[in-house]
Amino acid sequence: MLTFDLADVRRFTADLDARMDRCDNGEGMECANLDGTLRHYAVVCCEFCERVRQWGRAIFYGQAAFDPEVENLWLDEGVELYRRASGLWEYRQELEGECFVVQNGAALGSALWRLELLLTSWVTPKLTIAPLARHGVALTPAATEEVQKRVDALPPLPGNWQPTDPRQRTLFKKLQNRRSP
Amino acid sequence: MAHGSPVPLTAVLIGLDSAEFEAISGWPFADPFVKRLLQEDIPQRVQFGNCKIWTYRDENCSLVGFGTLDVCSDCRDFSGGYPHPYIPLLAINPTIKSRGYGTSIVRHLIDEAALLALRGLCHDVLFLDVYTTSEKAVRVYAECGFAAISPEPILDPQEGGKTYIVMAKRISIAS
Repeated sequence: MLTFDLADVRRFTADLDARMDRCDNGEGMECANLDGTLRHYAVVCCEFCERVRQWGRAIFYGQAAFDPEVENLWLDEGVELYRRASGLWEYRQELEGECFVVQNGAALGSALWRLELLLTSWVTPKLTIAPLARHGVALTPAATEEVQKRVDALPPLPGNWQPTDPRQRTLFKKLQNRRSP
Repeated sequence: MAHGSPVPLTAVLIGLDSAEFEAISGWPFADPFVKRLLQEDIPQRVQFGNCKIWTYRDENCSLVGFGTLDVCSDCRDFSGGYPHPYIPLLAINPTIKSRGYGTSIVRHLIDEAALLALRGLCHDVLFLDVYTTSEKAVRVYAECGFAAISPEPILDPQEGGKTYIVMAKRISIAS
């Protein structure tokens, strides 16, 4: 199970730093060429974003306590990662179009975009105020059984169901076409 | 709240950094809990979860309300452990007279959740929780086919002893 105390987050960010350093120094086969380096940075950006999301969710649901030092660590690491990855992205853009297309350019572009969104719209996590997310359905075993029965008994949407929104209708038709033999 | 056909509204997906989000955050909601939920919980659900926000405009292009839909695990005990759709919050612009907008918004969110389930992206039961004091909201949800699944109202000690119920609706299509 993941924990988010300062020591754990330090270990995670130190590992990311070490991987970036190894890549920048051309160690190992992973970053043997530009394409490999782009892929490597795309993976690191995605891992970072996902771990921050897990941290935020853990605090939101009361599974971890908020520590401002941990938040600062995430922010520092995110900014550094963004600096290095966007530098690489710019280098790739200079090369591309001149003589070759780099396969993993799009992967890094997408990962960078996610990272940028995370950093520019940064949200400091805190415990949810919604009752269900804080307490759950909070039931006795007998009541849990009753809830499950009620959920199982919920009727489906009618067979002729169709969404009303034009965008939803288009998507629905596409899904139906895919399903029909 | 109007019965029958929903009032046609145009739904627009928005982001946290949009002018629309700023506009709805400034609405003078009668219930301060709605504002807190919008300003504190929704940004977290968007950033750390899978929550989407839509604003809704009427035929005059007036902003009449907003709705949110997350895919989370808040009710995983009743979704076989699978992520399921969940409505964290929706609201009508408190400065206008509602003409059944709530029903239209709930139906749009149900349809959105149904499409997610149809694509296999979540469980086929849509959940929500609502304070029992919000009688009008409970009525709208019931009109849209939601059923209370909690056997009795659940006490929320952190909100002055208010009670809430959990409601659910199956969103798979009958074969």
